[in-house]
Amino acid sequence: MATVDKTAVTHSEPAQNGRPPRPPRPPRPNYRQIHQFPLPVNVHHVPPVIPHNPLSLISVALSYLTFLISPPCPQEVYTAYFDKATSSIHVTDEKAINALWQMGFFGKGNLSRSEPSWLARERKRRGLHDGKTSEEITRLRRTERRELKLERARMEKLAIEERLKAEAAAREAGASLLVDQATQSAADDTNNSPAAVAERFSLKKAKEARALELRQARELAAQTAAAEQNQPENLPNGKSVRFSPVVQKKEFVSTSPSSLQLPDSVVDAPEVYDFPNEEHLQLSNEEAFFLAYSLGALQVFDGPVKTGETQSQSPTTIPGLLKQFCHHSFQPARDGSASIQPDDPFMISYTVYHHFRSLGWVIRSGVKFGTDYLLYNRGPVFSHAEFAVVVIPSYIHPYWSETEERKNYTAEKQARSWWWLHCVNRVQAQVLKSLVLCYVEVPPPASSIDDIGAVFGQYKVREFLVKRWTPNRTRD
Amino acid sequence: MADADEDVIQTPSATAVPPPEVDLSDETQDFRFLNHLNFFAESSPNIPRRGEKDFEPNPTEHQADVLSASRGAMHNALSYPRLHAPKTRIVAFYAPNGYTPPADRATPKAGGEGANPNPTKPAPKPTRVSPDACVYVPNPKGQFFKSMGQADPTSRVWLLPEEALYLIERGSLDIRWPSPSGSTGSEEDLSIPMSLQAAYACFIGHGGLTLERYSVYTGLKRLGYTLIRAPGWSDDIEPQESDTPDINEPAPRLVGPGLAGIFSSLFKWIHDPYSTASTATGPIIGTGIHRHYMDVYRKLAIIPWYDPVTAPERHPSDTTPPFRVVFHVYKPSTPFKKSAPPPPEFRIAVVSTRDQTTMPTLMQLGSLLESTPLDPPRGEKMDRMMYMRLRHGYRNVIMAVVDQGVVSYLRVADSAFGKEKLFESKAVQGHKRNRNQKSRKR
Amino acid sequence: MDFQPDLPVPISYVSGRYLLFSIDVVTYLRREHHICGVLIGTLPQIPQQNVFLGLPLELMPEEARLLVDKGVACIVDETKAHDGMNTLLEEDRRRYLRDLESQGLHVSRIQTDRKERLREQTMKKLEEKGAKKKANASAAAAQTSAVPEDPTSTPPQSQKDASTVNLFAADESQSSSPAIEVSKNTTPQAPVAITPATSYPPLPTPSPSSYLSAPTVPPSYPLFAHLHSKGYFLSPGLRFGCQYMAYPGDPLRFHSHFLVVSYEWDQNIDLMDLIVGGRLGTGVKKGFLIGGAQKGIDDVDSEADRIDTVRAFSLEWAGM
Repeated sequence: MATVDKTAVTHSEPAQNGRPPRPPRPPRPNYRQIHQFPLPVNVHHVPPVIPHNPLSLISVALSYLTFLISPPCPQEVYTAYFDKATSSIHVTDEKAINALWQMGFFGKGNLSRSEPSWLARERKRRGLHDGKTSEEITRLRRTERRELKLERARMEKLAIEERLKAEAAAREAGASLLVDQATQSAADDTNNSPAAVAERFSLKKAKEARALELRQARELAAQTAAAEQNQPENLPNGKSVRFSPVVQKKEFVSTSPSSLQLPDSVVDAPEVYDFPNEEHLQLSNEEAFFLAYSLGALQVFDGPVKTGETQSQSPTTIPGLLKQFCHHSFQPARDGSASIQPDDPFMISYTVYHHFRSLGWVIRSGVKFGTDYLLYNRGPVFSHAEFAVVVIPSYIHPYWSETEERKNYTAEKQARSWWWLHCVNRVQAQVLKSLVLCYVEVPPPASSIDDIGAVFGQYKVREFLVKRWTPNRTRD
Repeated sequence: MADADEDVIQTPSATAVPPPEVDLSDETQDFRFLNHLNFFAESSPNIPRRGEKDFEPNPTEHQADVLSASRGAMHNALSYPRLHAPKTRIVAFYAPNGYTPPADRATPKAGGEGANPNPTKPAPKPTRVSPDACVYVPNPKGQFFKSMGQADPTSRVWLLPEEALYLIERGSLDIRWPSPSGSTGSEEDLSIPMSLQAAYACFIGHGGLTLERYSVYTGLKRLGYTLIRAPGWSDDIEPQESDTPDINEPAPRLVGPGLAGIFSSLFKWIHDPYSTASTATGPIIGTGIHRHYMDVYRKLAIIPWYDPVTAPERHPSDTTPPFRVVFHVYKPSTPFKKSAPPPPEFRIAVVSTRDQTTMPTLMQLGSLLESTPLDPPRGEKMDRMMYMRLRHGYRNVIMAVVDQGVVSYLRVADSAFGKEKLFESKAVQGHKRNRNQKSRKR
Repeated sequence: MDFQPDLPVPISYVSGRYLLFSIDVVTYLRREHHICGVLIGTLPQIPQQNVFLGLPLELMPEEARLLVDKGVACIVDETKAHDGMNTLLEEDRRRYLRDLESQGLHVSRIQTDRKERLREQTMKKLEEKGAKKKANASAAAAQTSAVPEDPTSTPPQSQKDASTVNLFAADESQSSSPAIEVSKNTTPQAPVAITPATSYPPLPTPSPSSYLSAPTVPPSYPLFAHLHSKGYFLSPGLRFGCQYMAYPGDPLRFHSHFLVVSYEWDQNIDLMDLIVGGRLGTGVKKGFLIGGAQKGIDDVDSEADRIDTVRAFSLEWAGM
């Protein structure tokens, strides 16, 4: 988005002069309010104790007393189920979807690219709203670009045909001498004006291309400007994010910032819609395990649960969940009898996921940039991810080099080609992210996995930041 | 959609601004722009701008002509001779067997001799000439010897193979083969000049100089950097016992739960009487009432992480080649004194992709970084900007990955995310931290 | 220009790498066999940059192998060949030195002529300039006399002059004015010393018995050879995040079309590798191409047979 923003900025003036004025922007939703809680965890603030102020002691005592008399609502536990076909966790309950997205940005809409926004898009499509969603804009932009490319290719072909015709004609007319001379003099000119020489043909072509590109850029800018519903106001890194109007309409109706009241906007929204929401929230296995095991905020069932039926089925236990996720971290999934190995992909990926979550990062899949994870500060609505993480297992423990067989096994597991590293690094540079190599030291097989915390306490994480070094730039 | 929008960043039409890194050396340049660097043409050698290229071949004569002009220009530019005008010529001699102390060195006469031609200047310090040096310059003059070569007691300057090769290649040194044995009388007459080909044949492979190391050396020298060999140059360096007292000692690198664990249990006791926290089957944070997100995060810290600050430094011998620092590098602007080189600004390890086909393992990369000194993110700017601190890291090294003559440099830093408790920063708070902030809040 | 060397052309094998030092061979291989290699040397005329590089040319083992298999090139152990320097006959040495001296004299003459011409031009231009300034003839005369000492008075010419001189000066720390004096003093021509590019002559052409065996090649060779046989020019691609860059024509004039990565036929491909490769390619408007030989080396008689079984696939990132 960063670059698009710049384009929009550069062209803002002509857009203002030559085009009809922009439609007024709807106010940007108050993300600070909506996403004020970093995790879906109940937190109740206690007034601080100030030793020299007896009143504070009383206030503390009072608040404890209040809790004793009427305990605040316990931790909300959301419900989800494991879908074997996609090897992921589905959340279908509207309230849970909102809670998990708003508090910590867990999961993604299965019909959206990030936040579940299918419903909003669908309503727009049916004419209930105007304006465009980002998905629609992208589609439009792509169609247009494809047409421009075809046009350019056609022009190039035409130019070549014309030149061939001209060359043939010149030959026939016996004027080939002239052509030769022209080329000759052109080549000789290189001394004086290198760039302007001998390339009239390609230059012309390039000019056309540039003109096209410019037009394209201007159109895109105008489009973006029109679609830019929420310009960042006070975010220094200038990320502009579009969210569905549903979210934008949400008013956070909470008087006390400490209480956990969710704006169940969709239900209470004034608009009436007459079609069901086909979208669910999809959690990665790491996200689900974190919510279930670390926060105790999620129950995972083996199959879809109908409302009211919750009691008949019991949720998967935490150890059972770990086992399931480990088995499903292979393709195809291992059968249920296989024991958990310390280097099962899930064990390693969860170690990394938990590590960054526990430091306060919002960590999400980096699959679209070809990395394992992306790290957001606060969340994707606030800023772009600064870091892209790739995870590499490491077998430093002596156990792994005890036998020749293990040595070969681990060598293969650790091997990453140079071209891959450079490829990933290049892609991150294209999208202005910093690449983090995250090595995970794998412990030897554990005798038991009864204490999950103890098992994960055996792993160790070490991050390296990799960046292309350009000697030209550090000369100073 | 937030992160979905990031996709747009790299779409071609959106890049109205120039791409972040245009490195001209990345692509094959059209040598026609060097046409004037033909020896037989006359013009000043400015580096030309890059030209335009066609998308694909087409049958036009025009295209064929332009291509042939480009190739001709390349031929001319590469044919440019290496010349040494009589007045500026620096002659050197190839000594395949390296430095041998002069025969009369045993006598203390050397000092007296030194006093004769130049009484005010003391005889050059008897610096140790590297056993890898194989070219000597009897009469060294010019700026190059400020940062290259080692003087022997007779004031000859001895050059390492990479230094000699760099100088002959840029046309700044006229190296001669040793004269045929026996012909002592007309020595100067029969010493044949060394060709560029001969210099490569003799110097690459000599004294640990690989073609990849040379590519890095010469590439940075061309940009004005100063390079010297690092202690790790030789593959079989000896470990220095004195420097590495606690290599085998498993350092207290585990940070994870440790202190934080104690604190969290303390907090638990004060703040969370209903605690049901269990790391065994979860929930780690318990099902009780949490007073503060900070406490929640502290309880979550169960994964140990590597702390570069407490890790012991390693001796270069404790690293695995090629993941070992072989060059110390100084910026062109840094004052450099050959006799007392300052601490290096960059440390470079050189890797050939054809010999080492895979990326380093943690063991290899980790020990490479531990062989460099601690360089924590400090300074006013770093203090303010967390991303910058993470990008800078606590130790850093440059890996020059050489793929068949093409060098790509990667800066690798120990970033230690664990040292940045993001949840403590106000940004992630979302919840007031103390009374001060509460009052500041609107 | 269309120089035709004697075949097979020798490729220098130095410390495990394949190098070329003859510009004629380099041009020939590029023109006739679409082999580009990578220039790794410093250009003596502009030694302070990395944009344009000079000889030697480093060949990938794949390139060397292809040429050897075609019978176009042979591999010579250059370090061993240079042992021949010690056993050179005295008369050969003398002849070689005489040749070099006459070349040096020739160069020296060219340089002097050039400087003379430049000086004449400068004077002429200054005189013209002076003539125009009729109003102040005396001032013009003073200026003319000042020229040799003060090169800044007429920027374009003096700049040219200085740089021409510097081209031949070994030590760039020298300022232009002493260099000019040097050139004046050397008018009675002394030969300029030359560092030749190759050692042949004085070394004799290596005998076929000394040729080394064909280079060993990485598993990606079949794909390399396949694309080469289809007319692509290939160069090492690591810096761009792949194994080879494939150009539709000479990279001097064309941008690359594909980022190439080779896989074994039975190798498991990580989907993430395809995503990141596809993204990279699309981001720079190129295709991401993967491929490999269907048959192993044990199933066929030679590498050449494997090349016929290569299949290649091109990927494009289609967004999401």
